[in-house]
Amino acid sequence: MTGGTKAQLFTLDLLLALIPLTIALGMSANAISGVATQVQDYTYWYSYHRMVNDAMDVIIKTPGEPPDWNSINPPTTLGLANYTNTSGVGPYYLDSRKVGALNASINGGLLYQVCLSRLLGNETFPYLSLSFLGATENTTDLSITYGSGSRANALNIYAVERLALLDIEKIVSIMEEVGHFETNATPCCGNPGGGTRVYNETFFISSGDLSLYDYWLYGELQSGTVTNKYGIAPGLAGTGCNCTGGTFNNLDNPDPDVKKSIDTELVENSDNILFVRPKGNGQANYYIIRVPVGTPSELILPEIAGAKPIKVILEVGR
Amino acid sequence: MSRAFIFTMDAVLALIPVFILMGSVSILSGGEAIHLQAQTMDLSHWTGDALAVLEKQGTLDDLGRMFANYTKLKKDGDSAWQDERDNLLTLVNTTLSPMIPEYLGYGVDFWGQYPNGTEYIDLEFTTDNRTLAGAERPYENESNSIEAAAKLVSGYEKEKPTKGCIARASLIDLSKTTTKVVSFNPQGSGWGINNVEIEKRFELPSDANITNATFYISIHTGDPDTELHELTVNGMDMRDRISWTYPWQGTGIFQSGAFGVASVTNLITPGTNSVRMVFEHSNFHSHIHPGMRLEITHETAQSQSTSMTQRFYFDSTLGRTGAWQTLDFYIPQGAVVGAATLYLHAEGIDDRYSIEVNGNLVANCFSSCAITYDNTSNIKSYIQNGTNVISAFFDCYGDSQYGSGTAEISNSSYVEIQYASLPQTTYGYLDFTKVLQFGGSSSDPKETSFFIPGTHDPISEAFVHMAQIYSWELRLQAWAQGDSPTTVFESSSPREVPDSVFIDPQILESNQTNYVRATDTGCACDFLPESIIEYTHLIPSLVPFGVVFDDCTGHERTVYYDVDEDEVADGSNLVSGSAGTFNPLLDGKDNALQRLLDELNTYETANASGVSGSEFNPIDIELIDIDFEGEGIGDVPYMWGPLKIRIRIWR
Repeated sequence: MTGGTKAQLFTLDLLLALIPLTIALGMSANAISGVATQVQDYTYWYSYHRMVNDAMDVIIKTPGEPPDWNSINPPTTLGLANYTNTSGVGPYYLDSRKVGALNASINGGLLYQVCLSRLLGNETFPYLSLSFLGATENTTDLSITYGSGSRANALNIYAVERLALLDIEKIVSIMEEVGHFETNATPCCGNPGGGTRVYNETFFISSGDLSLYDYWLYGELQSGTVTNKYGIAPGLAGTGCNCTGGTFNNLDNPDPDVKKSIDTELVENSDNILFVRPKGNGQANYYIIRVPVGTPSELILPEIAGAKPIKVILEVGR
Repeated sequence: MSRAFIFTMDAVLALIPVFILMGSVSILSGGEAIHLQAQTMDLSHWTGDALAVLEKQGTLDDLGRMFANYTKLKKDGDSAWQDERDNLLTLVNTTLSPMIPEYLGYGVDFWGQYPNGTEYIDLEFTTDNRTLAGAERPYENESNSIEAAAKLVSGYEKEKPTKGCIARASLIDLSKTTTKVVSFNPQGSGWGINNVEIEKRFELPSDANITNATFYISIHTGDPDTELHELTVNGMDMRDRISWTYPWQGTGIFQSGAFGVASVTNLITPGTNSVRMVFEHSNFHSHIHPGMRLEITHETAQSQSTSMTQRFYFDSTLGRTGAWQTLDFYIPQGAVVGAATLYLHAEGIDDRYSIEVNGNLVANCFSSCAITYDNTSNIKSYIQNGTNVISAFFDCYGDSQYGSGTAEISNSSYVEIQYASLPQTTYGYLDFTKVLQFGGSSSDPKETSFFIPGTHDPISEAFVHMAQIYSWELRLQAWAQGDSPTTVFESSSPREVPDSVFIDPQILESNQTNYVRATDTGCACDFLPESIIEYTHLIPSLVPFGVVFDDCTGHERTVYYDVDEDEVADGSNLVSGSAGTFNPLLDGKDNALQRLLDELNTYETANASGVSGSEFNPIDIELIDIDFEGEGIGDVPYMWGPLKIRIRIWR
């Protein structure tokens, strides 16, 4: 009996001692499981973050494959960097024609959807967005976004923001401070000192350019009041230079703040001419602006012409 | 039991390091480390991308060139280094600030290299001290992650030799011929047979070499032969020198104006000069009319200092029985006036006085006035950019109406303008003044046109000095060809006719025909052909350091000039240097001088041939005593690099 009491005591002691041990082991097992889950989550997030970063690296630093791809001949690997046969690849310098072609329809959907998916491990993402935003004080109007799906419905968003240069617009012809007494140019007809006269600026359109680019006539009032008339004419200088009255062509309009697509007025492999017949007491500027096909009209602004720093933002949502 | 207890305690104690180890693994392997890793990768992209974009844009090279100029200017003790530093800061701000998101802080460092190869850091721009834009950006010492990237740039042209000569040339010590117009305020008066006494003092630079001085006299008087009792320049009587272009015609109010011209070249001296005159009019007022002035052509060294306080003094006018004066002065466009004070001292007041600033009444009295007026008035609210006119009338009319005895405006009276800020002078430019006469015949209105040459020279200021035999109220308009006339001045009350009217330079245009039209809106009073336009335009005065050359000798060079823009060289000057062939393609100093001459050749000569400064392609100013600064700096290799520009970004 005495020995039995001892054994019972021993057993109870052991049981009591096992309670904290069991609790400790349980907590440890739970912690290990939580850490594993957490690490798994972070690793999962990081791998997507890394994947999106790597995709962006390819986009801004490589020209894609083939390097001179376009909407007709879409890339197998998407890259937007500039490429020429003479200078090779220009990392960080994005080709505006490639940016303009991102929305083209190709086999499998839109070009940016198909090609981004390839860069992201052939996975289909319910939310996808690729944006190009001006990154200088005077290019805040520069904003291009290609996107699909709902950002609000995405559970997780993996985003990366990088810097690059984009030459979305080129000013191919310019006529500045055109006024009734404009004197810095020689009129094609009329007297430079006064009276009715017409000024002209010639620009050349190469073969095939009208399929790659859109051309716009952009006018902006500088001072005073003007009722300038303007027009576009292809062919030889002198055509449309009419100081005796009449109109130019269907662009004839006395509004200086014009923004109009002029593709139908232009002829490839030929000189084309912008005419302005100044009227009124003020001055206005006129630009012929070239942009990739399909560039929206709100982006037709002379101040964003030339290579400008931009932020390229890629967002992927699951 | 104690064994079991000991066993249990052993187990628990043994588990403690196990728990610590597990906790550490949890922290190290979990979010913090991964998050930090991702954040570092993002910052690394920002720094790398920013440098790459700046390099592609050419901005890195611009920064390098500006930094090189900054170090050179600072080394020379030239105060312009601060401008260059500010330019550098502005460029960093305008390019980087829009690129880098507001939640990141950033800094830009410039690392140069001493000749012994050791590096030094200069100009650590950072958002911490808010020299870089972004009030909400985080501070560096509070950040938990920072990334830096650097690129080597050359201060000057890439792939050039690291030893040799670079040079610049400047016209800081250029001697120039300029014309100073000393205006006489319309003022008076003597009533009837009583004299008016007027004294004016003015300053010329102490180093002025006076080559011509012409005095234009425009007065309302009795017969000058008998009633112009005194007209002296620096104490020397000059009445015999006057040729009366528009002679006195009689005692009637409209006949008694006279306008004449006299050469006083040998009477004007550098430093302080004085003109004193005493005259009467037997029937009416004797007083000075608009158009009275001294035109002094002189050579002087340029001074680029601009004072933040300016005083414009009244002339001394002793009238019998009244004294009046209109003082005109101009406030540059863009200047912000901090304070404006009018101090006026007049004595001998009997009946009344009236003081106005730009038509705004400052003080008046119509009866029982104190005999002495001595007051300081705050006139800031009446001051405007452009032409300002102060009219001060004390008694003024004959004893039968107002006044008695004499009244005097003291030449201790003044207007003092304190500027809160002045428009920035354009660094690297010198001003050059030209005077043109209206010409033609007398008329009202009178209009003239004049061509301002140059394709890129800014006009800094312009004045019109109208001359009249009789005047009442002035309206002056100006415009450039193709623009509508702009009224630049209009009298707000009778007799408020300034001698000098300021034209906003924005109205005029270089390389363009410009027009000025004057109208007397109070009477049909002709303006004389001797009326003048005086305009100052800026000419480039320096060229920066150029590329590296092997030689740094500097050879003599004959420079032709055409100052009257008739497209024919008017003469030439020899710019001193070593004997030998002037070769801007091989010699750094020659190259700097040639680049400077290109800058000074602003008026495009038709059918020009040869380089700027040659006989058939002359420059547009006469280099009487050019001191061009050019030096070899071959012993300062860090001037052209390698320069390291580092961008740091933190979060």
